[in-house]
Amino acid sequence: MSNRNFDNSFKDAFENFEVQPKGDIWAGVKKELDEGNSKRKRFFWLFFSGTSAIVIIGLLTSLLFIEKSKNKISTFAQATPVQKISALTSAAVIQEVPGLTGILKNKVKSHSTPTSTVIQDEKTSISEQFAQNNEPEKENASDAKQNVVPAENSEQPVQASTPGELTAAVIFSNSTATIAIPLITVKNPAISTQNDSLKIVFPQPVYPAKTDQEKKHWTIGLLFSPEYLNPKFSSSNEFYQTQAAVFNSSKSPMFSYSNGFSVGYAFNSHFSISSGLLYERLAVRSNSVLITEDSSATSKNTLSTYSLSNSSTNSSLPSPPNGTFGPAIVANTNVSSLYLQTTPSNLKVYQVNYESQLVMEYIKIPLLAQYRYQWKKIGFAFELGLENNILLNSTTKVYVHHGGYEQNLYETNDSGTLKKYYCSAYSSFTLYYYLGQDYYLSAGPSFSYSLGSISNNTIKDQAAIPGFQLELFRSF
Amino acid sequence: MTEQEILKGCIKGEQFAQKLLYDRHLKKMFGVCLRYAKNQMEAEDFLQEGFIRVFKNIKQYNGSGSLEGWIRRVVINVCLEIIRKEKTMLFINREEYQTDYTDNPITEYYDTEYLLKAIQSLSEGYRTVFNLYAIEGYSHKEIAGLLEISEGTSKSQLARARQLLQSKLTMHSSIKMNFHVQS
Repeated sequence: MSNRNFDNSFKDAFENFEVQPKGDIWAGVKKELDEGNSKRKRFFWLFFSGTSAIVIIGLLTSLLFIEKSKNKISTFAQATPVQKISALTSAAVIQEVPGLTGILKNKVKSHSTPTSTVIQDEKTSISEQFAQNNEPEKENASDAKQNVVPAENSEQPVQASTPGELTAAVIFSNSTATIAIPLITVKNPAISTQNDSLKIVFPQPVYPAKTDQEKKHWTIGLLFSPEYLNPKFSSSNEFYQTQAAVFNSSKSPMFSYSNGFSVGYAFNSHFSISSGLLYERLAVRSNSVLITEDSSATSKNTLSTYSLSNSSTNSSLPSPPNGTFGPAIVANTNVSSLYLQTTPSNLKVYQVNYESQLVMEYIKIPLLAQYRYQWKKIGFAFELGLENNILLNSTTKVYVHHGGYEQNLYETNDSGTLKKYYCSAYSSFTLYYYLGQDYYLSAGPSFSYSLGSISNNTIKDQAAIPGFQLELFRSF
Repeated sequence: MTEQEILKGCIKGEQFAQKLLYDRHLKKMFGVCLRYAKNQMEAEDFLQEGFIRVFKNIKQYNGSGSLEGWIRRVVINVCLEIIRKEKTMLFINREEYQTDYTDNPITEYYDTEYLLKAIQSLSEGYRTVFNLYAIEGYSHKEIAGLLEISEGTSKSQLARARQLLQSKLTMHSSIKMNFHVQS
C-alpha cells in the first residue's frame, strides 16, 4: 500500500466525519461574544469621551490664549501705563511693565518712604526724567520720534523718551535702608505725561516678538528620540496567521532610537515645513521554547543532536566540550543546531529556551508640516507628515539558554528579508521652550506607523514606533 | 434561511443567525477538532475557541470558496494556535520507535472511530503533521512555516506517524480478521 493510498484512506474516512459534542459549546461561545461586545462598547465610549475631552480642552485653551492676548494689547494701549505723579513720591506704587506680549505687574509689598519705582542705569533717576517730561516740547522731542513705540488706539501722542536702558525694580525702603530688586531691563523706553500722570511705554525686545520671528524663516536642529519598535505581524494567508500570532505574543521590546538633524522653513509664525536626515536603530526580541525528548538516554554522556529550526544537516557540528558534566549545548555558528549531552541522572526531557534578536538600521528622511503656537517663552508644535526609510542593514542573533548555559547560537544578516525602502506616517506633539539667542528646546511624544509591510515575507510586518522626541533648534 | 442570509446576519452580529451557522457546522467542525486534540474535552475547547474566532472574523470571508471551507481553515488555525501556545508539541528528530513497517492492506477492516483513536494516540507532533499533510492536504513547506520547523522535520514526523498508524491498524485488522474467521 503506497503512502498516497494510505493517506487517502484517512482523508476519505474523515471527509464527512461528524460528531455531536457532549458539552454545551454554544453557551461558552455566546458568553464570550457578549463580553466582547460590551468591551468594544466600553472601549468606544472611553475613546470617544477621551478624544472629546482633549479636543474641548485644546479649543478652550486656544480661545483663552487668544482672548488674553487681545486683552493685554488693549490694556497696554489704552490705560495701563498712566500713573499718578504722586505715586512716585508717596505711598504705594504699582508699576506695570510690558513683557513679551503682555504686562508684568509689580507691587510694592512694604515701604515707609519709597523713593522711586524705577532705577535707570544711565545715572538718571526716574524723578529727573519726569522733571524733564514736565517740559515735553523741548530738546527730547526729536529723540522721542526715533525711540518711541506708540501704543495702538492711544489718543495722546508720546511726548518724551529715555534713550538707554531702564530697569524696573521693586523698592523696599524705610528710614535706615533701601533695597531694590531688579525685575526686568528694557532698552529705549518711552515716557510721556498727560496732565499729572506719567506714561511709560516699553518696546518689546526682551523675548522674541512675533514680528522678529516672522522675519526668521529658517530653523536647523539636532534630534534625538528614544523609541520602541512594536511590530505587528499578520498574514492574509491563513496558513501563516498562526505563526504571525506566535510572533506577536512572544515579542518583547529592546532599546531603539533615532538621531540626526532637521531643517525647517517657516511661512509665518504658525506654519512651517521641515525635513532632515536621521539614523535609526530598531530592535526587537522574541522568545521561544523548544521542548524535546531523548527517550534513549539510558547512559551518561549519550550524545544527541536536535535541530532548532531550518537545520538540514548535522554533519558540520563541532564536538561537545570534553569533561562536560550535565546538559550542555554546543552550538555551531553556521548550522542552527545544537548538541544536548545527557546527564548522569538520565535526563530525558529537555526544555531549551532560545531568543532571537532582530536589529534593523535605517536612514530616515522626513517630510513634515508643522503648526505651532507660541506664548511668551513657551509654545507647542504639532507635526504631521511622511518619513522615508531606507534600509542600511539588518541582523538576527539567536541565543540559547539551557541548564545555566547561554550561548550565541548564530548570527545572520537578513537584510534580504526586509524591504529596501518603506514609507511611514509620522506625527508628534511637542512643547518647546525659548532658551535665548534664538535657540529653542523641544520635547514630546511622537508616533510613526509604516504604510504597508516592512518585510518581503508572506507574513506582513507592520512597524508601529512610538517615541519621545528631543530637539535643540535654532532659528535664523 | 439561506446561507447568504445567515452570513449577512452574522456580519451584523445577530445572535439568531450566529446560532444557525453554529448548528449547521457544529458536528463537522467537532470532527476536525477531535483529530487535533488528545481527547474529547480538549476538542470541545478547540471548537469553542474556533467558533468565537469565526464570528469575530466573519467579515473577512470574501465569498471566494465555500463558507464551510473557510470555517474549517479558521478552526484548524485555532487548534494549531492553542497547541503552540501551550508549547506541548514535541518534535523528535532521532530514531525513537523501532516499529516494523508492514505493507498489509487494512482498508476494509477499520472504521472511522478507530482511525480517530489511532490518530489521537499519536504524540502531538506526529498527530499535527499527519493531520495537516494527509488529511488537510498542506505541503511540507507550508507545514514547516506553520509549525516553525524544518521541512526535513516535517517529513520525518510524517513518516513516523504513518509507521505508527500502520502498525496500530494492522494489529486491529488482524484481530478483526481472526474474529471473522472464527465466526
